[in-house]
Amino acid sequence: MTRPLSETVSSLRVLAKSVLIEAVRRKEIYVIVAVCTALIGAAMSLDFFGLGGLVKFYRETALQLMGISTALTVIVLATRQLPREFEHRTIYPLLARPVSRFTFLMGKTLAAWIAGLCVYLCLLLPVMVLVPRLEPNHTGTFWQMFTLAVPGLGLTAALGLALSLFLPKSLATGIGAVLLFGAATMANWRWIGQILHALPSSAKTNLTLRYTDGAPPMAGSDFLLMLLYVLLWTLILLTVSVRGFNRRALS
Amino acid sequence: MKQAVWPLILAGIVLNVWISARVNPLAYTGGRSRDDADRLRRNSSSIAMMIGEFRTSMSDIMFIKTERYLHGGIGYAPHHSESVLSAEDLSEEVEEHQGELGIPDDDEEDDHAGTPTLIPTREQDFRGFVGKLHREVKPWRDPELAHIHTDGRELLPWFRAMTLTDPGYVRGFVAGSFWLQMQDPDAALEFVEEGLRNNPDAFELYVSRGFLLLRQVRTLRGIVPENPDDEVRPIMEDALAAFSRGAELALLQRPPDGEEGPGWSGYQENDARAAANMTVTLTRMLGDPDGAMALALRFLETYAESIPLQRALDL
Repeated sequence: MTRPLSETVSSLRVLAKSVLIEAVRRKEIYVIVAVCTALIGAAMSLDFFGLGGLVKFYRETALQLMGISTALTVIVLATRQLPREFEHRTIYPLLARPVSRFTFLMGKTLAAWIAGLCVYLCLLLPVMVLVPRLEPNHTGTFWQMFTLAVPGLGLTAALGLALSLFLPKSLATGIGAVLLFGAATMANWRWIGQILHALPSSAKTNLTLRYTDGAPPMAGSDFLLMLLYVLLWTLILLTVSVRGFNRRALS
Repeated sequence: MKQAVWPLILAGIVLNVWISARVNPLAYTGGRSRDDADRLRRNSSSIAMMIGEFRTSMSDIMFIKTERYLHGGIGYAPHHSESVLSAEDLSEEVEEHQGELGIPDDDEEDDHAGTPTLIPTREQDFRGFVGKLHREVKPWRDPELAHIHTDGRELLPWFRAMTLTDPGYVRGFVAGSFWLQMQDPDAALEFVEEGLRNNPDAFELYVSRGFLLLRQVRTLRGIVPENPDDEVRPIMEDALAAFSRGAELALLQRPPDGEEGPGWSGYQENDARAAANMTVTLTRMLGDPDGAMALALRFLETYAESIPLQRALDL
């Protein structure tokens, strides 16, 4: 029996809203945004002996801190959703309602993605307004960075959820963080780099350094391939999660 | 339907592996941090060096660290001139410098003697016994004495680390391959090739590759022979291909004013000229004097005052 689309959308909205309300109530997002803002503010207030021309330092620090905070928000939020539902046994009344497991998982993923997006936008706007501008500034690279960051957060959310289905919560968060923050560095390590090609990582889509370094935008075909990369991994992870969750006994 | 999902997932993963291996958003040419003039400007200030740019400053700092290792831990004011950062000068000047391993003897009295140490001498140190203690505890040597140089082996992890941190750091690949060839020539060639994979347009790396191959020839025959036999000819042809590619790339990248032009440093000019000279020389040695002459004339249009190229016309 197929449920009408409007019902599914409504369920998704309720599920996502409940996760977001909980995240706001637990003040985690506030704390992350506040700490990140404070760090950016502290970096901005530093006066390096009156030395000029350090715009790049300010902007890169701000954007990297922003990226780390956002990714951290998403991975923490995504990896703790399912374990908490099981621990608190709140999953049973939820699934007793006319909500499919697929909708349930999509709602959770959507919530983590929206939370990440909120944090990203909350931080990006002041960074772009307050932090000194880079010259020369490649607007195209900035938009590529932004356009890849948005679906990249979706991939992070899907990754967190998939890991939490098959691993204990803390291990899932740890592995997720390694894939997020370590992948870019480890990509140059000989055999680890080869293995990493086969693992999902939104770190590959982080164009902050390219933007702050004043490099030109990626070739259109490469940019589209990166978008495809993010969307494919998100789809694969969600499919694997849904199938894994469908097979999971709830007793 | 359900069975069809897994092949699709597998196909998706394979496609993503291909994309991941093919596209690297951080592999780009240009950008402030990779501009040599910008690097030199940044490195002229220690503060700017520390906070200028995370990744590339880290590789610069590691590069400076290698100099400390080279001097057995003694901190000297940086004294390796810009020219010795070129592939050509590394293979000539620094190699000669390396003849002075261990405790220097009478012949080496002038070897960089007089370069100030970071920890000042007793006469210049206002700290009294604290300064004395500092000189006792830390590796220190009277700056008036010639330098003691290590064999470079301990430098290698730093070159590995700096090029992992910043695969676009051409200077790290050039200098690293030079030190590495003293320990393992094959690994040095691999290192340069890794550099070329990451920086396919870096002509300095082709020059490095050429010099490394010529060193192989010298190891086999003692010299680079005028009439190479069948064993060394393929190596020399390979070296010629590397120098030739490097020379062509340099011609494309060099601003019309050379060193005076924007974004072109002294060591790039050295390597560009070395690539041209070696292309001409090897073409002649491999049995094509007319080709060598034509090449020399062509390169002289750019490097008009190059004495080796002018001499090539007389041969």
